[in-house]
Parts: sequence; C-alpha cells; structure tokens
Amino acid sequence: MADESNEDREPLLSVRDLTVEFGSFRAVEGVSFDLYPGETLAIVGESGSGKSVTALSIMRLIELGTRGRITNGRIVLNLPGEEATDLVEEPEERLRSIRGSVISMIFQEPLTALNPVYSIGNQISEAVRAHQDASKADAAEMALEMLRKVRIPEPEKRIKQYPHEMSGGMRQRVMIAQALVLNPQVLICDEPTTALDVTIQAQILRLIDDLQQDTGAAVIMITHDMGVVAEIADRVVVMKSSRVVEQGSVEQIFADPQEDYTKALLAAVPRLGSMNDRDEPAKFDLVEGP
Amino acid sequence: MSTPLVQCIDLYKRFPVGEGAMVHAVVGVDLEVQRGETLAVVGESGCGKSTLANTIIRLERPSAGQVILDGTDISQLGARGMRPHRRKMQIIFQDPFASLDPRRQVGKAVAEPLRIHGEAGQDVEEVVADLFDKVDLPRSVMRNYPHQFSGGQRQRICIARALALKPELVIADEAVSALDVSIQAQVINLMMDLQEEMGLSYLFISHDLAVVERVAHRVAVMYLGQIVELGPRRAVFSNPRHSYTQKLLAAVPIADPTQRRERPRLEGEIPSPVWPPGESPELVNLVEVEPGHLVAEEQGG
Repeated sequence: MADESNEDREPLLSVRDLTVEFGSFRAVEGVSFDLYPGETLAIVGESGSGKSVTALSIMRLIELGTRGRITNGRIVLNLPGEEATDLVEEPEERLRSIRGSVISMIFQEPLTALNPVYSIGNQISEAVRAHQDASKADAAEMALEMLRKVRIPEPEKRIKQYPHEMSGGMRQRVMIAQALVLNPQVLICDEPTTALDVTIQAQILRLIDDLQQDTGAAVIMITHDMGVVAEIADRVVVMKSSRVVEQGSVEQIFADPQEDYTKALLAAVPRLGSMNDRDEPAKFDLVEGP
Repeated sequence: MSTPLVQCIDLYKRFPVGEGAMVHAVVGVDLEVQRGETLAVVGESGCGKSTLANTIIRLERPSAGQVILDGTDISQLGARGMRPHRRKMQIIFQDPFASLDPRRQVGKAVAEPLRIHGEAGQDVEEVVADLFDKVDLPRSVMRNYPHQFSGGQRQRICIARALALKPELVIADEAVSALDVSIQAQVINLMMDLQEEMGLSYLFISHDLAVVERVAHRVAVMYLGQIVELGPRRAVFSNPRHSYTQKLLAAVPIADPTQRRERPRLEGEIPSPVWPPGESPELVNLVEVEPGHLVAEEQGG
C-alpha cells in the first residue's frame, strides 16, 4: 500500500480541469485529480459517469478511437528525473512512445483488445519491439518471462496459442502481461474484472497487486464495484454525470462520505456479511440521491 | 412444510457437442421451491445454473428426471400440454433490451402474455396500467418504445410483463446483474415488495453473492452441474461447509476497507463440464449437517 502522506510528494500524473466533448455533449467536465507513485487510485461511478472517457483521455486515445475531443485542461506527466510534460500538448509521435511503455492500459474485454490472428507470444513481443531495440529472440524471451510472472500455467505451450484458445481469465492475464512487459510507471485498468467470475476476479486483483509491489507502478482502477474499491484502493475519485463529486482516502470515502451522491451510492451497495445476524431477506435502506 | 410449488427430482440436462461428447450441464439435481420463498442458485459461469432455470421453466426439455409444478409432472409435456402451466412460471433475463421488441410499444409488450393466453379483454389497457403502477412506472409511458427507457426502467417493464398472468414462480436469471448499483438496489427492493404483495416465489439465479445474501431465504450452490451445498441463507453464508462454497465466499470483495484481509491465494480454474462418450461425472452425496442444510461429501474428509 502506498504511503499516506502525499503532501510532500510529487504527483506522477496531474489531471487538471479536464473537459472532453463529444459534439455538444460533455462526457468529462472540469475533472482534476493527482496520481502518486506506487499508489492505487480508484475512479468509481455508474455507467455514463465519464470514468472510462477520463481513462482514454490520459492515454490520449480519445481523438484516435472515438469522436471525442479534449477541449480543455491539462494532463501533466511528471516522471522522476525528467521535465514535466502536458500530454494534451504532445504530438502523436511522442504519445506513441509513452503509450505501452510509460502508461499502459488494460480493458474489460480481453478478446476485443487482443488480436485474434496473432499468437499470444507474438502480441507481447510486438509490444516490446515497438518500443525497444530488441532482437526477436530477446523479445520472445521477455514475453515468456512475463507469462510466468502473470502465472499462466505451461507458458512455453501457451505462448504459441491464440486468444480464442484461452479462457476469459487467461486472456486477461495475457493482456496484463502485454501491458506490463515494459515496466510502465502507470497502469490504467478499465473494469478489468467485471466480466470475470468472482474467484478469477480475486486471482486477477491479487496478480495486479503483486505486480505493483514488484514494479512500483501506480495504478488507476476504473470500476463500478465498490467492493473492488474497498479491497484495493488507496484513494478514491467518485464521478457522476461527467464530474468529480468527491475524492479522498478510501477510509474516508467509506467511513465518512461528504456528498449526498456518495452516501446514496454506498447505501445501495450490498456488503457480504451484513446479514449474519438475521434469517430473513432485507430490503436496501436507500438514501434519496440528489 | 407444505407441498412445494416446484420440485426437481433427479433432474438431468445434457447437450451433445459432437463426436459423442456431452456437456453435462445439470446432473442429478434435487431441489424444491416453497411458496413465497426466494431460492437463490449461485455458482460461476458454466456451472449449469441457467440451464437448470431453463429446464425448470421448460425452455429446455430435461434429459432425465422430473419437474413437478404444483403437483403435476411437467417434464415431458408437449407444447399444448405445457400451455396451462406456462402461465404459472415466468422468467426475467439479464438483458432487458434483448428481451423487448424494439418496434413495439412497451404497453403492448406487457399486454402480450394476456393476449396469448386469451385474457386480453375490454379492460386490457386498465390491467396493463395497473401493472405499470405495480412496478412504479408512470402510466404515461405505456406508448413509448424500449429505447426511450434506461436499463433499470426496461427491467421494470420486463417485470411488469412477467407479472401479467399472475404467475406463482418468477425466475430471475441474473436479472439485476447488468444494472448500476443504485438501480439494482431499487429493482431488488421492488421485487421484494412484489413478493410480499403477491406471494411470489423467486428462483434467483446469480453469480453475485453479496446480492444473494440480501434477497434469498435459501441458497443452492452449484458446481459442475451439481448442487454441492443447499440450505437456509444464513446457515450457508455464515457456516459454509463445502470447500467450493468457502472458496466462492472468500473471493467476494467486501465493500468495507476496514475489513481488508489477506486472502487465500486461489489458483486454477473450474474443470470442463464436457465428458467423452460413455463417461459421466461422479455423483456427489449430499449429507444433512444441520436442519435443512445439505452438504456434498468431499473426498479426503
């Protein structure tokens, strides 16, 4: 877990007044938050709150993959020993060298994120060779090592297989391997376990945590699941209707939420174990949202 | 206990997958749903919980075994024979958008079961309006189309349609899984109100144990087509006896950062339910460990 005292540390990434528009619709409006080295920051919110668009903006994939546009704000990357850069102003060429090597991203659906016609090994070593001057053999060796790290059984056999030959959990491991092979400082996870069964989800969350301990990467976890937030986050950003409603430490958000929306959201979350002392089912004690 | 509303006796459903191999989706299931209760069936993808639901409601014909509905064995009835029984059982699915015809006004969709069963009399509009009241949707939206509604509202429409024929059993197959958490809580509260009001029984199929803990009277845990643990919700959740139930519960993230814990490292995935020709899974033996709480015996204690 990250150090709690963030005041005297430099953020690795600072998002300031970010606004993203799709035509006349503002999917993200005036969003600001910091990400510190080694920490896990959860961005939570319901569908359409703008959390995924925020993530894609940091990767600067908004203009490439969607019709959206960043119309205001800064995304300042502050790598130790380097000059701070505003990703909003960087040319595509420079962004390409950042994506995958400095900031990586994994998605909910690994089957659409992985290329069906390339073997697992090819996809991971391709990520290596896109950024480093590595021989094919060296890149393949790095891919194999990464498959071991994400605890894929029989990696020598799996490395030759294709995405469709693997289960959802295994594919998610492959995507994590691909995202982490270049030791990025920032890993953005967009609902990485939402499509997975709960036992596989536990494995993947544990794996992300282990790899984070290993490499010291900072993680941004985009999720709608307050259970996942409670398990892994150091700090939390709550989003609703394109804006940040509240942010704070995970303890503060759960124990002492300040905003009505956060309170309403938490009241609707089923908490395993909360029914230990009663036999009959119980309705949710809903708080009227704003 | 009174006679159950639904009883499955030694129920099997197998699907051929080529070259004689079979998916053994439901394997020797014995189960009862009592009147007015919510029985939750939990398990991971591929465990057979949806096939069990579909077999009970006769969207699938069982490979073997019986489904007794209100005293009648419906397992081998044909389409005509099933008709009078269909009205007693309704199902709600995960994706309400896929279950509604995009070109049909939602009021008409809700009225359709009434028409099919010849009950759409002069007052059909009034009956549908009452159903909209029941699920807390304004009557003014009856002439709207599915795309004009949010996911939660669409699921309310599906619930209204499911209730049109005053069923006794409603099967909810991951019915709240795709909804945002605040909407999910509202729909669950609605379902519980309706249960009280109409004496409904729910067969609640879900992978979400935190939701199940909230809604269920009893819980059945399915693994590879078989029930490995069955009992009152409180007993199963606070005193899980089967290793698979324990593993499932341990994997659920708890929405409370003060309860963060070092969890057992889970490895591996669930084996395949596909068996080669002539082979079949070994049947588990359920033992009663406390009143109503059954647990499958495990090898090695």
